[in-house]
Order: sequence, then C-alpha cells, then structure tokens
Amino acid sequence: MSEPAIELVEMTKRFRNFTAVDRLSLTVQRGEVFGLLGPNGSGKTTTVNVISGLSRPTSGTVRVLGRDMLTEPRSVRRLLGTIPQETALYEELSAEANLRFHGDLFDVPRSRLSSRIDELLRLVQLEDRRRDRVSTYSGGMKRRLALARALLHDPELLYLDEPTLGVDVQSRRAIWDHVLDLRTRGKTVLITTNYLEEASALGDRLAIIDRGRLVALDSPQELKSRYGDTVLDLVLELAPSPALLVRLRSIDGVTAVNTADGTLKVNLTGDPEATGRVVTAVTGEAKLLRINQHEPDLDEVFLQLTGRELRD
Amino acid sequence: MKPYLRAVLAIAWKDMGVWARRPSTIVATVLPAVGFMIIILISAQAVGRNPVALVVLDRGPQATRLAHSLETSNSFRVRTETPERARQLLHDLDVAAVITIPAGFDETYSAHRSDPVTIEINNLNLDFTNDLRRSLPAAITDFYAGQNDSPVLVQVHEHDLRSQDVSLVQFDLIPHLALLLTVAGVVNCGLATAREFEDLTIKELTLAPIARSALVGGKLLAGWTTTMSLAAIVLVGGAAAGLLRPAGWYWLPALVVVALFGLAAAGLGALLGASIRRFQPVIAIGINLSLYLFFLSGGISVAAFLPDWVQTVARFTPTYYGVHALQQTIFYQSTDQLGLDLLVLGGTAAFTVAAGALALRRSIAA
Ligand SMILES: Nc1ncnc2c1ncn2[C@@H]1O[C@H](COP(=O)(O)OP(=O)(O)OP(=O)(O)O)[C@@H](O)[C@H]1O
Ligand SMILES: [Mg+2]
Repeated sequence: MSEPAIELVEMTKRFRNFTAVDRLSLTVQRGEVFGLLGPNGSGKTTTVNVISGLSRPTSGTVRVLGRDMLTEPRSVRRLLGTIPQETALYEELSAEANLRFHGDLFDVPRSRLSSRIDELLRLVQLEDRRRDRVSTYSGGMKRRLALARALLHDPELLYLDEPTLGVDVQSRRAIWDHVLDLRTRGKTVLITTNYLEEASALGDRLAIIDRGRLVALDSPQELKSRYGDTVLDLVLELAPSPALLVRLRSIDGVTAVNTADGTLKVNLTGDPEATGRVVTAVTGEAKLLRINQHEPDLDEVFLQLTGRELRD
Repeated sequence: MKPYLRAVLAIAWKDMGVWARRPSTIVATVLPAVGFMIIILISAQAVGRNPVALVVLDRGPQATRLAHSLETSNSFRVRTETPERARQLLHDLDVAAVITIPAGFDETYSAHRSDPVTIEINNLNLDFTNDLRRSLPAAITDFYAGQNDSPVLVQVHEHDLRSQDVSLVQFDLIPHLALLLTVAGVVNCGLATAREFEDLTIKELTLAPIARSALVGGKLLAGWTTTMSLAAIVLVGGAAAGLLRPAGWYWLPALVVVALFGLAAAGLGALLGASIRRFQPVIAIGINLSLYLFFLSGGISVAAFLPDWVQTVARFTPTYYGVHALQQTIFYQSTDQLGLDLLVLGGTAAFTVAAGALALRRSIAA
C-alpha cells in the first residue's frame, strides 16, 4: 500500500508530430489531493487520458495504484472514478438511469445499487430531479451528477478533469466540499483546473504544466513564496521624481518599480526586509499618504511561469 | 449475473432507451420505406409496369368490358392498337405482349366455351414472361369475377391462381420490408455508435472495466432489437392484412432471413458509426446506401427488368438474396435457392458484424 497512487516517468504523448505532453514525470501519493494546473491546451486532459488507460503514451512509463497502465488497464479501471471534462452523461436519460447504467458497467452489487444511488443523489442534492432528463439540467447540476457517478462504485482514486467548469459559485463550493471530504476519507484525488483559486483551495500539491512540460511542482504556499512577488502600493502626495524611481530600483529585493494613476507600485521578492528599505527610501524624499501590501497571488505565479499570450 | 452479460445487457438497454427517446430518429428510419411504399401504391394505380398491346377485334359488350378490365388493371400498362401495329411493337420490344380479344369473343363467351383470349408473349426474358403469366390471368379473373352468369368459370380460374396470384403491391412489400430493415439497422446502430462519439459519452464506456467485446455486443444487440421490433410491426401488420402469409413452416426460414438481414444491417451501421463518428453524415450515408441496396434488390422495379449490367451488380448485393428468399418463402412456399440466399445473408452478417466490431475497437483506441 505504500506505492504511490500515480507514477509518471518521462511520459510523452505525441499526436502525429505534435507533442501534447513532453517527458512529464510526477508522483502522486496516496491520500493526497493533487492539482494539475495549466492553461488551455497545456496537456491536462491528455495526461488524464493516459493515466486512465484511455490513450497509450508514446513513450515513458505509467503506473497507477501500483499497476502498469499499459498492460493491465482493466483491473485498474475498477478502482478509478472519473469526471471527464466533457461529463459524458447521457442527456436523453434521467439521472437515475445514468447512475444505474454506471452501476451495471462497474458491476456494483445489485442488492446495494438502489440504496447507493439514493445516497449519492442525496449527497449531490439531485434527489428531487432524479427522474428528469439530464438535458434539462443546468451546467452545475450536470457536474454534480457526474461527481455522483464517479463516486458510485466507491473508487480508490478520483480524476476530476475541470470539475467546476462553467458552474456557479454555489455548485463550485459544493463540489469543493465533496473533494475535501474525499480527502478526509483517505481517497486520492487528481484534479485538473485552470482556476488558480480552486487549485490552491483544494490541492496539497500543485503541478503547473505548460505546453506539455512540467514548469513547477510544489505546495500552493511554496509556489507563491517562490515565484510570486509581493506588491507594495504607495500613494504619494506628489508624483515621484525620476531620481526616486532610480533609487528604488537599486534597492536589494526590489524587482520592478512602476507608476500608475499616481500610485507607485513596487514589486518585491520574498525578502522580508525589503519592505522596510523601500518605505525608508520613499519617506526620505516624499510625503507618503497611504500604503498597501499585496501578498503574492497564484494568478501572478501562473502568468509568470506560463507567459501571457493566449493559448489554443 | 456474470459481469460480462450484465454489461452487454446494460449497454443494449441504454441504447434502446436513448433510441426510444429520440422520436426523430425513429421517423427517419421508417420514412424511406413508407415513402416508397406510398409511391408504389400511387404509381400502381396510374402506370402499370409491363407495357402490353391490346387488340380488340370484337365490338360486343363483353369484349368491351374485358378490354376495360385489362386497361384498368394494376398489373400492366395497356395500349390499344391495331393488329399490325401491335405486331410491330412486339417485334421491336416496345411491348412485352400482345393480348388479342378475338372477333367472336361475345359469342364464345355466351356459349361458355373455353377462354378465347390469345396472348402472344415476347419470350426473351423468362422472368418477364412469368410475371405476365401471373398477372394476366389475374386481370382476366377479375373480369370473370364480375359476372354472375358464369359461376363455373370463376371458380376454375380462382382455383388455379390462388397459390401464385401475388398482387403487385404485395410483391413490392418485400423489397420495402428489406429497405426498412436496412435503413433501421444501419441508421439505428450507426447513430447509436456515432452518438457516443459526437456526444462525447464514449468515455463513460471506455472508462468502465468492461471487455471491448461486451461494448460491441451490447451495441449490436440494441441495433438488432430495435430493427426487429420495426420488422415485427410490418410482419404482424402484413399478416393481419392478409398481405404476408407464408403457409406452414415457411414462417421459419422467412423469420431467419429477416433476423439475418437485421443483423447484417446493424453490423453495417456499427461500421459506419464508428468510422464516421458524426450524427448527420451517418444518417445521410446510411439512408443513401440503403436506397442503393433497395434499388438493386428490386425495389420500384423488379430486378429482373433492370439492364444486364445492373443485374450483374445486383448479384453482388446481399439484399438481392434477402429479398429473393423472402419472396420465395412468403409468396411461393418455395425453398428455391434458399440455401444460397441464407449463405449469402449469413456471410454478410458475419462480415459486417466483424467489420463493425473492428471499426469500433479502432475508434476507441485512437
Ligand atoms: N486526439 C488528438 N489529436 C491531436 N491533437 C490533440 C488530440 N488531443 C489533444 N490534442 C492536442 O493536445 C494539446 C493538449 O490538449 P489537452 O486537451 O490535453 O489540453 P488541456 O490542458 O486539457 O486544455 P483545456 O484546459 O482546454 O482542457 C492541445 O493542443 C490539443 O489540441
Ligand atoms: Mg482539458
């Protein structure tokens, strides 16, 4: 049982001559909530497909729950629960029929299936709509149903590919609560998202990938302090002199100085002393009216690591 | 229940559930066959199939009535001609036969002497001739049936003809049943397969711990069952209306043929669905393909009347054998070439099912 839940070694997936995932290595421990973060087209879904055994990697090894995904995908599938990015629900059928179908495919014992379906519909609060066609559901309801379906056969390991894509705040919070609950029950969760807030709220560790390559891997806090800048907003009585700007830029720990709308913006590295040095320098030459300090933001980390140009 | 069987049945049940909730696709599968049947019914009234020249040499009331009865017959297109012109037309193959109502018709008729009408048939094509031999007496029977002064003759004619008198509409029901089976099988199974890809639900199936063969089996089972349920409606309706009534054990080969037909069509549908993976083109290609198969099997016009090269192509068309087998067993209580027909249909079913299964596996692996 000490084997990791997921182990990717130098996994590469190529479509014709386009490399969607490039020598990706990462290990997800059991009981961990692991976030896979990246812009559109960075290879998140491709990675999930490979670790679900849906598509074969071009090269590299893939082990899931201690088994080789290339040689024994079917025995692993029974232990996996997945919310595909596209939800893959049968829209013509009711929630109940979708769940029953899933139960049959995963051979959930018939004696338990009905009560299990009731239980999960209650959990995701869809009991009163259980007989309605899924096509009449909202986006959030569909995602919640997809979650109920992924949990139906009580999997060890869950893949949630953008589980909150296009859902409102209430549904999103509900899905987050379920994910956190899964962690307390010792399940392993791999969640892909391009919402940074989601990744940092849920993930024990985050991997940031871009163009199929791993660019960072750590806990959300570590990533913030390593890659994120603290930003000081300083409101002065008069516009700062060019000389002051030059002096500020020369201070240790300052990475950038800009002025916008009469506000001086100073980016700092993690150095805790830097704030004091900046304030001293500014008050020596100008009258400081207000000061505001932003802690590093994952969005900033993300943009810094993956660049600003549009993807897809 | 074994997990394998459970998965097969679950997939089949699910597909049928989706099918039943999409009335538009049910209509799409039924429409071509119904449409053509209507065309046949209408055109059978207006234009008969075989051009026949009629020469009337008697002006008496009975001769006129017979001429009228032939002219309004559903079985052939009648043009009234002079004897010389009729002979020329027959020679030039512009008509298939010349029917002559002789000068003394009324007289012989009143004397209850034997049928004096002569028929000259162009014997070039045996099927053609058979068709005329079948339909001409039927028209003449109609004529006699309208008489109440000659009961003996009516009975004799009816007795002779009953076992092989197949009306045009009835005869045409078979290619239309074949068309329905083909369209239903191809479109139902094709859509059920393409839909999984287009609606992106294929992942629910591929993420499940089931054998690929269970997936293929479930899909084919659903496509076949829905097709058979449509066929059952036609067969039961046809039997109730007295149009399709195979005698005795001929039901059995007829049903086997229908079942194999549906299976072959479902396999073809799975092949199309898995290769194209898109809803609209599957419907379009499926229906078009079915129509070609329909025409080649003798829909609209009997295959034997088609040009030689088309007939040659028809020999390589499985539906041709299916239609032949059904017409033989249902209408003629005959097992003529039934072995060959079954062999071709069975082989086709095996081939399309295998190809469909393969295409599905390949699409999933991609
Ligand atoms: N079957 C395929 N054939 C060719 N290219 C593909 C295929 N699947 C994915 N790709 C390409 O691989 C790249 C990664 O796609 P992927 O779906 O994994 O991205 P993603 O990170 O999940 O993006 P998103 O946030 O938009 O879901 C994209 O450029 C995509 O176009
Ligand atoms: Mg994706």
